[in-house]
Amino acid sequence: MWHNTLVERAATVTQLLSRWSQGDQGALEELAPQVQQELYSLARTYLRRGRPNQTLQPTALINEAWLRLIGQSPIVQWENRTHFFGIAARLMRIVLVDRARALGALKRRGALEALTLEHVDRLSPGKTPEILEVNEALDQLAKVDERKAKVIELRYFGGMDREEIAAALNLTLPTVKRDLRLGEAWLRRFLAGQSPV
Amino acid sequence: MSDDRWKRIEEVFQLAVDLPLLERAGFLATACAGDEGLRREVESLLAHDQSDNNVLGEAISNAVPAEPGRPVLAKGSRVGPYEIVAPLGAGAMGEVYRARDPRLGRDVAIKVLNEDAFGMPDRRARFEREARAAAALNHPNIVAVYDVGVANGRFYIASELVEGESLRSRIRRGQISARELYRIAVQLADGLAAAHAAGITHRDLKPENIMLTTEGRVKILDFGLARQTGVSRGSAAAAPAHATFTIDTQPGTVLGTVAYMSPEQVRGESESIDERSDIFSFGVILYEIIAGQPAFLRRTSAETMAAILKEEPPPPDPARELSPALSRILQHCLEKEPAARFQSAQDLAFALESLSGLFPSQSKMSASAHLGPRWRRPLALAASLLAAVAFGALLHSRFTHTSSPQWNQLTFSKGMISTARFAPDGQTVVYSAAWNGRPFQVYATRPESPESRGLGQEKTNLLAVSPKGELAVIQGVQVVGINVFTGTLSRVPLEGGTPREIMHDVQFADWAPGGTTLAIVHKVHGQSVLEYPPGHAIAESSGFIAFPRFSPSGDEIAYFDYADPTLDFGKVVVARQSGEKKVLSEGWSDLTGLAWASQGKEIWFTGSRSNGAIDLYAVSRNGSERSILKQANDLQLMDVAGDGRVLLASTNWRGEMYGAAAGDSSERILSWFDYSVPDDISNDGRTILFHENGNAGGPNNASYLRTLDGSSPVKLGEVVCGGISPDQQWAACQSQRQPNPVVLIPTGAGVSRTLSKDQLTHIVTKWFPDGKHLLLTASEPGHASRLYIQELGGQPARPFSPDGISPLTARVSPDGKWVAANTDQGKIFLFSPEGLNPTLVPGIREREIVVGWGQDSHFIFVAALGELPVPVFQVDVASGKRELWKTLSPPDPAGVDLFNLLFVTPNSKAYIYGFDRRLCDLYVITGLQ
Repeated sequence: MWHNTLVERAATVTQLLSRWSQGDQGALEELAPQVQQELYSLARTYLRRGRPNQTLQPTALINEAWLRLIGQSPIVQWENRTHFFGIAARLMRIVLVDRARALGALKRRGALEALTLEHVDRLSPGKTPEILEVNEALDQLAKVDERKAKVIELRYFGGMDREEIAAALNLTLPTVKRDLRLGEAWLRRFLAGQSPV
Repeated sequence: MSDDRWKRIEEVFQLAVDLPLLERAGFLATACAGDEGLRREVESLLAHDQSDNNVLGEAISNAVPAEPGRPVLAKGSRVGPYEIVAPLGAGAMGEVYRARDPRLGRDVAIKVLNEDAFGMPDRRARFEREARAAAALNHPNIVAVYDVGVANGRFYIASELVEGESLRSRIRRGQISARELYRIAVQLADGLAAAHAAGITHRDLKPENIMLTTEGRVKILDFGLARQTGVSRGSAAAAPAHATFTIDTQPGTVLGTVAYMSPEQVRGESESIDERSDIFSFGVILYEIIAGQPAFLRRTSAETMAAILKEEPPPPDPARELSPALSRILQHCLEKEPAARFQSAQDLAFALESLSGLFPSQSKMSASAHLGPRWRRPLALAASLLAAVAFGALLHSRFTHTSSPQWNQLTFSKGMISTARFAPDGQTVVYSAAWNGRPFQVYATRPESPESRGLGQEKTNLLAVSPKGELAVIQGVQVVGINVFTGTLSRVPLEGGTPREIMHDVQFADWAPGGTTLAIVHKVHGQSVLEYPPGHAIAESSGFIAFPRFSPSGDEIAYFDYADPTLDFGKVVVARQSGEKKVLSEGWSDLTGLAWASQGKEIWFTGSRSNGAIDLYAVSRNGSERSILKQANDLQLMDVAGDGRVLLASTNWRGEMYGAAAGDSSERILSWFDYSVPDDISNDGRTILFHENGNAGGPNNASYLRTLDGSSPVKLGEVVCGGISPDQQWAACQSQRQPNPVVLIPTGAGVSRTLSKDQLTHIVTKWFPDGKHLLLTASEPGHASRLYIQELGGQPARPFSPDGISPLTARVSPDGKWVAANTDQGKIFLFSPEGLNPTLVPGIREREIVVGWGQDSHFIFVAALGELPVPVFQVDVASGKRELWKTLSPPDPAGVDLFNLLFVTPNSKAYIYGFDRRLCDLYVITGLQ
């Protein structure tokens, strides 16, 4: 029974990825719940490592996600792997946001409440936003500048480095750097509660 | 915002961002050329550029659940204020680390929960509220929670570090004896009862959550936490949407937890889960200890849950007859309906303890064991047999293989026993005891009779019985310590007669095997000296030497040496007449008795490792130790006969504390746990400082602050605190372990301060009235204890008294100019921290010590502690003129041994005192090996 489930699910995943690669954005939303356990496991491995200076391990996460999600399956032919980079980053975002929602953090608070130790101990006024707020900030940024939001998504949810982002989005490296710099500043400002002027 | 506008913002931003900070303003003014909105927009973005905090990365990683089962924090990393030392393990709820609390210099256990704190303010608040409730639980059978918090987006819990093994590991290791089962069950029930009384249920009780310390103490982990963590078993059946994220997917984990669920938990009735659910889990655990596996464990968790709901547990072991008492208790715990179970853990504890009263006498047990009806016999029948059955035989077929020592009780009165010996006939037992609050007296008894026969005068204490039947006693005894007396050494025939005085001021003596000469211990120039024959020193100690015993051959003497009595750690030493010595074992506290055994191959003694229970141990001549007997009560070894019978007192040993606040007409009972010792009272008489020196206090003791009005004490830490600061904001404390720098612990919120390390061994620390200087009673290499003054944040401590200050007596005058203290010659001097000459206080009587100062700094309070009642006088420090202030005596004097300490406030309106109450029963035990 267990075996069948696995096989069935692998087939579903493959199908959905195939649909997505052909331009069906909705496929990704359907895919997320199917792969959340794998992505969590990956996130645990890669996102928790090397804290506190958090940037993801480039490519390792994606490679592993690739193997886990697709395996050796030859069914889906990819134009290039950068497709998949995009999928993984977006999936990771969807999965983490869904989870945060499921955990009951739907309530949007006016002031960000930091749940870090620093806050608890009042050692520092620094605060960390929630994933849902990051998500919303990214959505807002996408409205202003979609490419910057994408670059940041790949960077933070996909764990890619600048070169990989450049390759994935077919941009020059300086452009990626500039996009990241402005996009991050915009997000930080948004998350700090200061609305754009 | 239009795309053009955004492009313009980006353009200016990208140019400005590459400029040095100082040039940006000028550039912006030019580039924006009067477009004020553009300038502010770019400026605000620049303000958020390159910020050090990586908020995006943190937000994302905070949203990621931690990898279960894999410790991820490296040594040296920090969780809150704690530094990770090493991983201890990982489980369904999170990872556990050994960590260091640098503020108190102690090691703690840190559990970092998998459940992330991030994004769940409601859950966090609840977690903190309930974890803090758990932290308020203060019970020896519950792992103390020190602190909870959130670090890096995950909840953490800092708790007492328990050295030992889990009950799970103990069960795996093999058979658990009846005695051990009893100890575990009673302590478990006690811990549950304490938590339930505080309104806290466990909800995840299982062998993994129960620790057995190396001292044999049971400690329940994770109280009040299961509910918050999302692994609550109550949610397993009706799993909420996020269950997939929180229930551990490690194989076996959930299943293992399911097996201890109560039926109401299985049904997911989270609203109706109360302490009776814990009682069910307790029953499953008790069953598992007997049977080796949980009552309802099946192959899958679904089957297990079904069994919990529907099935009656099979007999723990079909081949075994269970006693009615245990059957009844188990059955009563495992009822499907909560209403049919024990209604409280208190009742459960009581049921278990009612068995223990019958516990010591194993001869009775084996007789009644055969009466045990089969498992599941009706309750009424079982209950009628309850009183006849003792616990040791409950697990008849499993446990009777082990040797079963026979206990035969010799004494039945209420009071304490100092010494007991087998008489030469091997049957008569001679002992000295203080029954019902009367002075010590020597008695003789025989095992077949509950009666004892008094042998002579009061205030007489037995030291030894010679092979010819002659007693060595000390008369006119003065209590100088626990079972340590000073008096006139005399010899008196067992059958009676006039005592013949030998020597004054002797503490211990033992007959050489020939029965003609004695080895003695007495004080010479402040040193404790062992002499044999008297006049010929074999050993000496700056602390004290206790319980000398000749080996059967007579060429060696074994004794305890407390080299530093203030730190209460003693050694077992064997000395020859030549003075040659060998330390067989060290690091013991509460050494209460010693005897040679096994024809001189071993020394048996009672003592405790690290302030735990006092148990019976043996050490061989080559120093190898073994444990012989552990019991719920403290033990005091008296004698071992040539045939191996052991004479032993089982002692309920408590430290009690009484006091009165201004305006009280009668005294208040201020005792907290088993051994409360007063340390200070604030000058306004409202606040007292005390420490727990017994089993509840743990290996390092624990200090508390409480108000005299009876509010619950606040735990300051596992240290001993000697003084409350004048503003009552700080307690001055030190650890019981070396090195022991002075630590100032805030009485309210705040961070402890450790004073710089010095060469001193700190004994007690008090405050000068200015709140800026500390009075240290301390010793250092080359110097016995003396007084030092230490400026806070200033120069190293400066001594201002000669050596030989009696520890714990120093008291600062209200004007701060003088410190009154006893010297070890028993005199009281006033010492001046400013360097004036010490002044002898005239008219002080023997054994009187300083217990406080009068308001005007002109008189002191003195009391002769030790015997009851205790008169307390006001003595004018200049003239010695005295006036009786009060006579103190606890309401029930039985077993009151030593009046420890007394503190009187300057206005003489409030005082506290502590004493030692030991209630002993004497037993002869056969079959101990």
